Amino acid sequence: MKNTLRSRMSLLHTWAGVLFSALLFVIFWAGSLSVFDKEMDRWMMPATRLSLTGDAKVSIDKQLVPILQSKAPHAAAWTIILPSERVPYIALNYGSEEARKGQRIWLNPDTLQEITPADSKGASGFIYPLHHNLTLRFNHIGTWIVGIASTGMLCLLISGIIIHRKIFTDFFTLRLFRSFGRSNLDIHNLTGVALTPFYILITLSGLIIAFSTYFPNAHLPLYAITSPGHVLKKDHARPHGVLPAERQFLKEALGRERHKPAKSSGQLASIDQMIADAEQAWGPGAVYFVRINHPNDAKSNVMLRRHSHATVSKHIDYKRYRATDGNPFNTFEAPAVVKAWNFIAGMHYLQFKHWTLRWLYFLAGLTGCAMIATGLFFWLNARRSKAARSEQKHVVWMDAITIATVSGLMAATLGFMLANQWLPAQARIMGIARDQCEVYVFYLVWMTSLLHAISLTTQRQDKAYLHAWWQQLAVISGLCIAAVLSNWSNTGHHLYVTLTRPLPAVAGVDMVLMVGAWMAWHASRRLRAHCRLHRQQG
Amino acid sequence: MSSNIIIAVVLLQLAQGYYALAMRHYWQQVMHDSGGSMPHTPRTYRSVATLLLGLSCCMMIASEGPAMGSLLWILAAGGSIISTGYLLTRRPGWLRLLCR
Repeated sequence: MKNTLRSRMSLLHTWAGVLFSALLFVIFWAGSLSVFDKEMDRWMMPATRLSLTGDAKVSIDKQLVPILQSKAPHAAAWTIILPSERVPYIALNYGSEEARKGQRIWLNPDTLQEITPADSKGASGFIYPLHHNLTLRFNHIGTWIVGIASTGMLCLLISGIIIHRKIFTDFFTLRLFRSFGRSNLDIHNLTGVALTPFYILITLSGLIIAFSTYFPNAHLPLYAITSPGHVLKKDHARPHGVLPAERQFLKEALGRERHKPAKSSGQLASIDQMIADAEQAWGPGAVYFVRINHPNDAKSNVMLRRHSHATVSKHIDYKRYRATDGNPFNTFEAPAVVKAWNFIAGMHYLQFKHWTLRWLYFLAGLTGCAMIATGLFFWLNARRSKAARSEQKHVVWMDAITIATVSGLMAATLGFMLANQWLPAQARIMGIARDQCEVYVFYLVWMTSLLHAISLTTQRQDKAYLHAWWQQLAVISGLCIAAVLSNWSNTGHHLYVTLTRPLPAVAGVDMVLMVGAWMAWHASRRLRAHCRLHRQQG
Repeated sequence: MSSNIIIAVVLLQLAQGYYALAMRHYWQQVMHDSGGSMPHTPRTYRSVATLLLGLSCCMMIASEGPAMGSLLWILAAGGSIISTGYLLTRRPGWLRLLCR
């Protein structure tokens, strides 16, 4: 091979692909599902399937403060999260100084009745963490692994563009009716080239979001220099919580500061009035988050945050009011650099209210999964016959890993959703709480898929891997249908009900499951037919 | 979804179609049974495509604002490239409508 830039990039593309593809598939799959995490939460937590009428506005003074007064009069802070289209219930949090969100209750905004907790992690409690830290929280190991894989993804994207010999000539080429190798490579190239800007945007923004994990002390020397008196200790030891320089950073960049209580009793002025005042500046209905620090104290204060529905940027701005007289005393607006970071974070977190864009993100994420999977198929297809002749085992193992990564992960996700439907409420299995059981089912199904793939691909039979594929795809199809039927039988919410009530989140999840079932069944049938044909010819 | 977005998506699809027709091998793929030479030069097709692409971008930005509009345009453009590739392989005859 000539030692050209293209040949070196080809080597990089191959090796980075083999090393990171499985991991990247997991990250992209979980990320795509996280686009609709709140909708999946509604599906997995039936008690929260509420239709937000918006007719009656909740009065914080008359309706919510009395509840908090009765539940936690001595709490360090009360937090109220107002309902929105995607999260249609009121969340009340209260806790001690150390754990400000210690206790949590959810209320129906129409009746103010308490909603029984679902005892489920939901998609936002499991799929979303799987996306950004693989649920490995110890010492941020998961975030580091995701960061390394993301860097690998950037290398793959750049090297992929360089090694694509006919990037402009074959720009629209998609030969679906040619050999598997040809059509697979065309799908890989087309999905890769068409959405390269999106992949770069989403990967790079993902890396930028987690900067504080990758460079935990990068900002501290600057704040130690620019803020006299806020000297950075040489050993970076943190004996009493945060360093002074870090505290300065948190205050200036993120507006985080804590006010000490007077430890004498005080009255609470009208929070509804404070919200009305804040919404004069931010617009009607802008406030979604209310925190009352040191309630019933003479130095109590109320912090209001606005939602980010109308902008790509994820707002962190707030207004602070003195709780005793309701006068504003502090307004935080993010500095320019933080605003830029908020914009990048906003593109990744997708907190804005734009359904077209949300669906496009979801489809683009799944297209990314298709690109990664077809890349793996190409690598395997190019080496399979040669490996079979020389009896090399690495391709067989890679086959099993690919099957477990692609179809196994999908089956595991469906297993997680089905466990949510089938496990009895408040169940404990061998001392394991119900929400943890759902997670264990996820990993159990994934492991079973890997073992199934290994058992078939290691057989000496020709094209044994195809059997693993069609069998697992048939299982996926069955699981999708079972999930839709389970939701119907457990809650009575079949598609007609969810479309007419309306419960768009539940209807959307059910419809995606049905489309998934059809696609998996179609693919499984064709692969099975191919296996039969091969057996007859052989 | 506003009508402006729908129009912009249609314009994007047309633009990708014209870009495809500006390339000889795709032109032949579209015209495989009726043959004939290109009624316009590839440059003309490319110019029309670029114009439509720009117009769709402006429409999305005007409709959704610069941040959301450009995000929407990037994703919709990616989608239109894939759908044009799919059209060329499954229904190439449909692109003949653009040759008139």
